[in-house]
Amino acid sequence: MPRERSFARDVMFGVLAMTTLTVIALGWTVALDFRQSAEATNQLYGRFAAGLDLIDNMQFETGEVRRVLLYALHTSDANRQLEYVDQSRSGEVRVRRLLQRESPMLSTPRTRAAREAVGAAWTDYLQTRDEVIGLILEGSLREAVSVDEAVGTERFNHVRDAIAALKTAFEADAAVQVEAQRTRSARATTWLTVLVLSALVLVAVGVYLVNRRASLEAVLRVKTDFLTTMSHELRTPLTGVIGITDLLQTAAVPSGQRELIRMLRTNATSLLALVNNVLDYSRLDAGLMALRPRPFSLFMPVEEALDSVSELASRKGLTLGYVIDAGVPDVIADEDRVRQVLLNLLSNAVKNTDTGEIVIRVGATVEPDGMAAVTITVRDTGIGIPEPMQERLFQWFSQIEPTGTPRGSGTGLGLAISDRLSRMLGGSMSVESRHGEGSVFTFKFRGRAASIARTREPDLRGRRVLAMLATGIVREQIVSMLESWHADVVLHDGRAAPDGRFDAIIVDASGSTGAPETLVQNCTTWGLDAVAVITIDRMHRERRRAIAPDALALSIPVRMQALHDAVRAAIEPKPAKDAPPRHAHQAFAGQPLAVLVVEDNEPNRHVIRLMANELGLYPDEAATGSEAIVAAARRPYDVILMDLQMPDLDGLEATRRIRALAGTHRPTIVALTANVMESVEARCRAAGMDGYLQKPLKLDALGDALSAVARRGSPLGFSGSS
Amino acid sequence: MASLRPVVLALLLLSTAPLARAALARQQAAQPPALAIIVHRSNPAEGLKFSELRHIFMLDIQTWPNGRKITVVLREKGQPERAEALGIICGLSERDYDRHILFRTLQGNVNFGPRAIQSAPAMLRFVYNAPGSIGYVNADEADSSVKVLRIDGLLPDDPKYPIRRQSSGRPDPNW
Repeated sequence: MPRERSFARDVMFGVLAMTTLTVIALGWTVALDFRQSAEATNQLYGRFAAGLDLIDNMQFETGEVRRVLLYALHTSDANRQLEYVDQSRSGEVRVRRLLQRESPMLSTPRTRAAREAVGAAWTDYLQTRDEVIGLILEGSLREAVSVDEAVGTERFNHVRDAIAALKTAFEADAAVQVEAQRTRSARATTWLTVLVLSALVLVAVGVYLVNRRASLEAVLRVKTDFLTTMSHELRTPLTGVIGITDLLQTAAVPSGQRELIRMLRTNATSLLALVNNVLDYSRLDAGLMALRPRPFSLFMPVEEALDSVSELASRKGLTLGYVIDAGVPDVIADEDRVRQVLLNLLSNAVKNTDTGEIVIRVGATVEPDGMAAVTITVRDTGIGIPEPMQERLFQWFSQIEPTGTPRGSGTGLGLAISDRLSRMLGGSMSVESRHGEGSVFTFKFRGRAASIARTREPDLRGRRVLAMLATGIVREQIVSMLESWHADVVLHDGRAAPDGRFDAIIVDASGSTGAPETLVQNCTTWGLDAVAVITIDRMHRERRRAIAPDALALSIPVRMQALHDAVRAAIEPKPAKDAPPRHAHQAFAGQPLAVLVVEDNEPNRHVIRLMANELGLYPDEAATGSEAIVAAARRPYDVILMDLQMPDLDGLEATRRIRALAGTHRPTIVALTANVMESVEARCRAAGMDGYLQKPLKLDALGDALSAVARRGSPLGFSGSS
Repeated sequence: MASLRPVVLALLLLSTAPLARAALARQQAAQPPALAIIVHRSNPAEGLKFSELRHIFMLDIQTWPNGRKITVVLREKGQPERAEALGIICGLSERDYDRHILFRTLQGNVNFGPRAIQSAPAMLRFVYNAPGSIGYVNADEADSSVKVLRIDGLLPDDPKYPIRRQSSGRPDPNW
């Protein structure tokens, strides 16, 4: 869902950004257009005023030419007459200039014709005027008046009429141009208004989105906090349930109740997986899932994931195995997430497969930049998934039965979480399946190629191993591993005596290549009775020992280290047969650690105490943070197992106060928490804790942690401490 | 010898031509300045006999051959240029000329007397504007806005031009 929401949000913000850019671009254009329009309007009115001024001047100057002439008629003084004549001549020059002056507003065809008409009328009038001037200066005033009235007035009226016509034409043209400019200005104003409104709308949308995003984030935070808290509250009692069932499984209980205990543990584990899925979903949904890359070998997550489903697979009679191609490097990536994805795929495969085998194949390509593209396929021989249903497999809450019909149980989160995690890891998830022919899930991710220093590389050069194994993934896996250690592997069907000397014999105890007892007897017949036999089967250890009491037994799925140890044990001198410790961690009994368990939940505290007892330790207990501080002040503990959430004083504050106690002794403080957020880890480290163990607490994890403290006497560290 | 006579004469003429031109220039420089008689450019007349000019100024002749009334333009009364011109052209003093005009007017022979203008540039402008007018200015003041008439067939730059001022030849700045 975050992906869809993120996509929708990206699209929305993309559209918003595009709209904003468009509005800005339009705004620039509109602003330019508006400015040009305003300038054009100003220029138009300027030209309009200049044109009117020109015409008015024309009218005035022509009137002056005639007016001074009339003055000359009213004097007999030749010099005065000559002054008026000179003024009239000057006026004539001004009129001529006005008629010749270029004006944009007087350059249309209509106004140009009108100006020409004015010029023609003016020329006609000037002829009369010159005649009148002559008569005036010659003293013929009466005749001059007569000529002026008879001809001059009429011609001058023609001039006036022509100028009036010019003005009319000018005003008509100006009206057209003003109207056009007004239309353009109105358009520019409209666009500007639209632009301003668009900008306001954008601002409003932006404010709305910001507010909505803030409120959504607040809602998301509340939801995430709720889910996280709920997950924690669910995981805490589950810790107790699973811990108790672990202890009950090792206790002596009637066989009828053992199955009930197993069912109880299975259901509790399923419930825990469900809670974990919900927690992962909430973290992915809130975008709070962070990767913690570290170098690891791909054997580890593959084998651990196989181990997790081996019990159920064994009960269903399924064969599990894996092959890692030669040349697959160690990588730097988030191992926990890789394991989680594999476990999801394997859980589905085991659930949906009734017969056959489930095979993991790992390949990788190292690119020139040092990045490894890892491809892991999980192939099952189950009923398969119809093609139309495959598209919905990786959607949230998609519950699909292998038959394609909706399923009534489960959350539909596992594959969706795996898909998102694979994307976070820089890869992808896909499926190929045919109904009735099984499915192949392909999980790809990327990580930088790395090389993990190993204490001793397996090397079986010169060793010959006789493998009497049925065709299948188990044989392919064992042969692949032995050959990677440079052993000489001879495949044999167990019917005739093999040639040569052998250092070890690996027998398929499931009887696929014949009865295992017969195979072992044949080995004795063929003179191989001195060679150590390794049996491989998914059966219980007791039955394998019944077949070949001295045989080294390996379970399916075969683990690399176990195979290597078995082969080594077969070819090297056998150590004295001491009774193996019931549990490896019982070695603590020789050097007991002083342990303080701080846990407010009484059942959980009881389970931890029982687990510690199982490890040969007898811890002190504190129910509150305050009690823990008092106890730590009283006794120098080696290890303090500290619950984080307690009512009076939480684990972080209790740790800070313990660290603040006087004295040189520094106990190793390990947090017990169901909340595995990175922020919690950082807060633990800041408070002075040395590591954390994840609830529900498991016996092995507790043993490993305490063993590390006992060996190193140093802090556990947070990486991989869970 | 007889055949060489024209050649010798030509050579003599050629050799004496520069001397003659120089003598003419000296004679012109020594002469008083001429008065140019000016009319409107549209006036068809190209020249007048000096006697005709005197009749015109005396208002004995009042129309041009094309029928246009003649308007005589003089400088204003009291200006020396008026008296000097009347003396040269009409052979009368200013007072006698005025009496003559008055007499002619009272006789009913004159519709309108001579016009009086206060300066030479005004004289030129007047003649330029009045097609039937006739006036006078110093010869070097006449421009293309008016037409200069020949008097007895001579232009003012001719040494024999008859209308010259009586002064020493130094131009009067008022002319």
